[in-house]
Amino acid sequence: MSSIERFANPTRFMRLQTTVQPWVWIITLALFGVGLFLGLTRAPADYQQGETVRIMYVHVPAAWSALMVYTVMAVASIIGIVFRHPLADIAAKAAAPIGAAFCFLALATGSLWGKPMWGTWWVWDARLTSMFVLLLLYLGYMAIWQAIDDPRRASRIAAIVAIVGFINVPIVKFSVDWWYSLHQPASVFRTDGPTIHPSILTPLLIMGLAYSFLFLALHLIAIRSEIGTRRIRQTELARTGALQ
Amino acid sequence: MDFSAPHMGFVISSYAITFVVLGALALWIFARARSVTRRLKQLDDEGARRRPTSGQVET
Repeated sequence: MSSIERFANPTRFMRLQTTVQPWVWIITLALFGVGLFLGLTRAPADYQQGETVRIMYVHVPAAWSALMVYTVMAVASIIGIVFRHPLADIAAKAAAPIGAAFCFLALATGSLWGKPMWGTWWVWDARLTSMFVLLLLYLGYMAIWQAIDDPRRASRIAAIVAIVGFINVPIVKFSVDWWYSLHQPASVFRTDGPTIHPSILTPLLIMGLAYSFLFLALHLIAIRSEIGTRRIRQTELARTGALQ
Repeated sequence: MDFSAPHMGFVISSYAITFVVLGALALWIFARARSVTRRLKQLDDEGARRRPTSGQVET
């Protein structure tokens, strides 16, 4: 039995989730504690930006997470379409609001960082615009699930949107290299290594991990809720005789 | 961290909005989970049974 088939059983997933959940929360809170401590008290202020550089510890992980969550949605959608894995579309649907929140935070904190550093809250340049498009993709994906009653039909249409919309993820990542932008170019994930001093890079990476674990913690609960919601729907339909 | 530094309002606002949005997201997910669990228990107590349609994987 492949690992995909083994975890295709929602009941088995829920047993696993119950066991793993407390540990994921402990790791999440520990990472946030260490990351915030290092970022707010140990990392130095930037020689040009001063204390505003500390916005980076909430802005950059939010942006990374928004891209990561959309990638999770796209991969889950492909698995749902190709392998008919019963948890795949549930996982994609459950991830969307979390990714949308991260994306909104990346835009909001970026705007709060842009005003003192660039002198403007917003510009329609490639990085900011592609990130805004990512937020619209999240909202559109969630709107499809809300608008279509039949979960199987909704999952197919939403999966296609998630997969097609994935084209925006590399556009966000490479927008600062491909087009002129007020936004700075990549300084962590580069082929020639990070250009940030370890005293700033370490808390940033820890905060990135904290956001990833927060996503995992919330996603596991959201998947469980979605499985429960579908069980409720099936039970209520069976009770009213709608399945006969 | 120097709270008297210029632009600290922007830094504090960034952390505040992050705290509020992530807190609200977590509360919403917890509330939904609790509501689903309560409804499932209620249906279970009433003896209601699920019956998947043919060809549909039971979730």
